[in-house]
Amino acid sequence: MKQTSVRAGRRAGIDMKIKIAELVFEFDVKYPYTAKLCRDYVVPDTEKTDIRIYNDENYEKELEACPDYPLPLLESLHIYRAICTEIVKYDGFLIHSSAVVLDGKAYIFAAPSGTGKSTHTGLWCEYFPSDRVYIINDDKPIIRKTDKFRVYGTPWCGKAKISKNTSADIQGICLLRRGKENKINRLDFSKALVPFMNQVYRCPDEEYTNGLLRLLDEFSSVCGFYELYCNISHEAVRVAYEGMSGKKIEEETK
Amino acid sequence: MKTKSGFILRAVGDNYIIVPVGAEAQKFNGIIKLNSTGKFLWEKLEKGTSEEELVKTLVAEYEIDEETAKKDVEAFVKKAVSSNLVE
Repeated sequence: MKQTSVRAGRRAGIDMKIKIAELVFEFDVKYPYTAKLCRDYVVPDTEKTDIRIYNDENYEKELEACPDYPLPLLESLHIYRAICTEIVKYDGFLIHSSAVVLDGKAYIFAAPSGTGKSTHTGLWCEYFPSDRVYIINDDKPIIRKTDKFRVYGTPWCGKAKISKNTSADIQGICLLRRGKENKINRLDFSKALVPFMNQVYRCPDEEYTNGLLRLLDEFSSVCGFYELYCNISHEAVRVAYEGMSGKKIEEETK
Repeated sequence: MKTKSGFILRAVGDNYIIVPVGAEAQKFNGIIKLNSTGKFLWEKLEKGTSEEELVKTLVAEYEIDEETAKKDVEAFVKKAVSSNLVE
């Protein structure tokens, strides 16, 4: 890895070394917010850095576009965007989704903000016994291919800050939609492609775009895609689980 | 008529999509899916061509009558123009 240690006008900051999706990222931040957010992911300084992120403070310009966002939050999101832009070179990508793990398999629910992803996966945690289920990341998990594609917890995980520093095999990707009735369909990738890609982090860079599309091409050949129409109920959980796992829920599970 | 340089055609699975990059992606960050005819027409447009030429090549390639080809090309071009993909 190419590393440059001296920058012009370097100011006092908090040096961070964190491990996400089996990669060590190094960066520094001005505000303690990000440091606190990342505390479960910090690794000792002795670990070799895979990717150095430069905090160019461009986020300060974003304040004009989002005046309601405090600077520490903008800095944090800026760092995560940089991480997600770099990680594509290591076969990883961010999917805007809530990912729930049941019996070791991740069920990933993707949808635009406000659809009810967290509400739905929250119901999974209510429905299944707590020793079988947990949320690995409630809003912005990373999927990365090492020997195969797996989903990873990350410090950035939405408002409720629900995440776990671990990884899980992927059962499937489910596009979540509100409905009166609960119904799940398996989707051909051609049908899932656009709504799925709309929830995948993208940046305008052509090299990034090429890398991402190559990765998604491979991912689409090994992952199952579904669409779920659902209301807020335990029946929605049963329909989603049975549709994606191909298993039936026995009465005594409950 | 020619496609704008900020839009690239790529295959994902069995699908063809157009994705904006660079400055175009700042203005529009959506994805456009193409069917195989759309992909064929787009590749011609990447090199720069006219609507009449598109109709001719479509007739030759797909062995369809001129009227059908004209309709297809018109619909495609209309969409490309309204989505600001061509100049």
